[in-house]
Amino acid sequence: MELYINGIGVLSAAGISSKESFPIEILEKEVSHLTCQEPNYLDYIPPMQLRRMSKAVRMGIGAVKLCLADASIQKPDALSVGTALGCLHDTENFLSKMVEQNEQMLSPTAFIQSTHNTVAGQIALLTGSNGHNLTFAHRGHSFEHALFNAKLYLNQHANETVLVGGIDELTETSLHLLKELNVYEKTDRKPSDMFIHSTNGSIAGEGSSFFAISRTPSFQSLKIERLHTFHTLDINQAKEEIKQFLALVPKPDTVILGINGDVRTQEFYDELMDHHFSTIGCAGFKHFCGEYPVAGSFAIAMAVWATRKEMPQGAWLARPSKSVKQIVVINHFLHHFSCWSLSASK
Amino acid sequence: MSTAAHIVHTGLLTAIGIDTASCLESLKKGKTGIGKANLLQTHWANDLPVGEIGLTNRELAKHTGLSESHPRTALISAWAVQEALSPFQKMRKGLKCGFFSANTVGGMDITESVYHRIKKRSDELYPNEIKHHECGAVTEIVSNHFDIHDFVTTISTACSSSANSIMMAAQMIEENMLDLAIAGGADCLSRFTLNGFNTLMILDHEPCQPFDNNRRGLNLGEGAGYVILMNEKAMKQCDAQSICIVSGYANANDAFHQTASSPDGIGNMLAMSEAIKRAGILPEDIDYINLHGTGTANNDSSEGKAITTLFGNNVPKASSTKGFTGHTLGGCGGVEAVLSTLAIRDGLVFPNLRWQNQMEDVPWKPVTELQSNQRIKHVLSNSFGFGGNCSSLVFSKL
Repeated sequence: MELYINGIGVLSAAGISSKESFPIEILEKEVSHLTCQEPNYLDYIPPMQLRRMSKAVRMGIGAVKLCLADASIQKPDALSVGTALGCLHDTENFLSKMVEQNEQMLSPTAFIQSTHNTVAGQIALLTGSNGHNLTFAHRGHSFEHALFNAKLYLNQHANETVLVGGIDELTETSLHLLKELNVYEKTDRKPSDMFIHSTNGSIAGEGSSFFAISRTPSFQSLKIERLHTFHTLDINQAKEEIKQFLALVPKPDTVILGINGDVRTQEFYDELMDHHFSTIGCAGFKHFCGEYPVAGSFAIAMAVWATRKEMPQGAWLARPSKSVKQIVVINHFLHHFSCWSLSASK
Repeated sequence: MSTAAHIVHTGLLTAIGIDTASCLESLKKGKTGIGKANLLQTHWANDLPVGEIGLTNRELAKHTGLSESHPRTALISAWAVQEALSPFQKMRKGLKCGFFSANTVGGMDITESVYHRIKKRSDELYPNEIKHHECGAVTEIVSNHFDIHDFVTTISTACSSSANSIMMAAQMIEENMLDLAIAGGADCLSRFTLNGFNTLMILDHEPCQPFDNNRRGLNLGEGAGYVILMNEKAMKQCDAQSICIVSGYANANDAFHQTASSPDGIGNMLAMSEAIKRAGILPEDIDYINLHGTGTANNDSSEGKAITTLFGNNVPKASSTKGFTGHTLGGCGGVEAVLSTLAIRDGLVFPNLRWQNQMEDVPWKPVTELQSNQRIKHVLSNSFGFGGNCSSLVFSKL
């Protein structure tokens, strides 16, 4: 794939990234879900605008600002964003009033901000970016497809930088419904327990991670060597796809796995650890950020940090690697799987 | 090695017809699809005309083999994909196939009908009814139904969504990442979008008049439009003929306002000029522009000015077809890509319905009568939307 990640910006339940630190707070209490922490936006969003922005939009802008600073760039040439659920809060706000008020006396603000591309549109507005601007809304592959799109764009615009990001917000209603659909566990649990015992569903999370992507490395880059995505209901097919992927990429010294405490995928990850990664460092990340459709973007940011500084101590599940240079990330959200090969070698 | 993305077939379902041929018939006859909503249950049925597809969910389900409990957007999407793909469905074995769809409403038609129960947290079994709420879920109902798995994605950039899905599909064909792609999009009418646009006061209470000085706004429509893109390997295997290629595409952002276009159409201008550049041609080579032309004061003025800036005194024949279909939101880029393909195939320029008065701030006028036997080699199709998203596609006859 030959793309380089030259900067990251992360807002997550475990904290906010900076040039000096990566979010690593793990809640040591039983919770129903994980809530994304937010910075003081007033440094870069005018108060009048900030008041009208939903959390999804704020989180997007916040992570973009951190990412631009980390990559030392002023303005992106292009934006490629993934959000499976879009601006849920404003969608529900408008929907709720429409139903309650029987289609009468509605105000447009929530509707205007309800479209999936509101986040990317607002980023373009605030950064004055007239470039290519796309939003993917494809379930557990929304973020990965945004990266594929960046690859296609950079093939035709070799010297530019694309900001690629993944954002999803959690609302009270989406939490309730996704618990009813058994995506998330109904009873409260401790995030770090997800590696000890699994239950019927994961712990809900939300967040925003952005990446400065280009075809040329900077002094602190991580190379994306390969990305493979697939959708399957058959766990054996998933194992086979991963086996084929691993045969194509350099042998990793570290693997980051999307273990989420859900009993339905625990055996899948156990087998991966036993069969393919029994001698290398294994790390998890969903106890930091929770489970959500674009949670994989947090794992990629963590991989960048691990090669740049160190793997967050609380991330290791087995055999902490002495040096992290060659990484595989395997993640899933429901039936959408993704496999990444990342390399710190130039 | 780069190859061209050939359009070999199309699928279309709009208020003016149930397939490509019947939509074309209506275009030729000047028959509009704008009228009173009969199926959409809304307070505004008598006040706000729409471009409604006159088929019930049951009829759509029966024809496609899907369940009628699926979101209407999935049903109309499947209907149009069925038309587009069926000639090749049995011949595409071994080809790498992708589905690039787009929508903005997802399963909102169902969600809005059960929301009162969600709000009450009532115990009645609503989770199953809302499990297809996501835009991506609608796409997957269709991709699974037609057994397309090599690459499946959903783009949601408001009214430019399906132009972007065609752009991405063309790129993946050009780079030989896929052999065959079904690309376009769909959106059904919903109370959510009708009321949303109504609060913005940009809906016309009469049938819309795009590019008319006295235009009053847009009419929402529902529709699905898909093109089949192939590389030469797939064309050979499927015995398919090229109608035209996707020669140029560009996506730019207006970066001006969440819903309004900049007065001079900066994003519009960028999208059009970059797409023409990508096609390797000059503005004067464009034979027909299928305008975004929604009929709102803001869009038509910005788009009109951007076209004047780009084309100067040589503005090509141009028309908006939204007077026929209504504005089909996430579907319009796909619908209008099909119409652009037909313009090339049959040498037609479609009329811009109900045009009466010259715009004060735009010096040219759209084509108002059907023009046939035209030499149409290059067509520019515009799709602009909320969030500043502007996309243009160029279709060229080889």
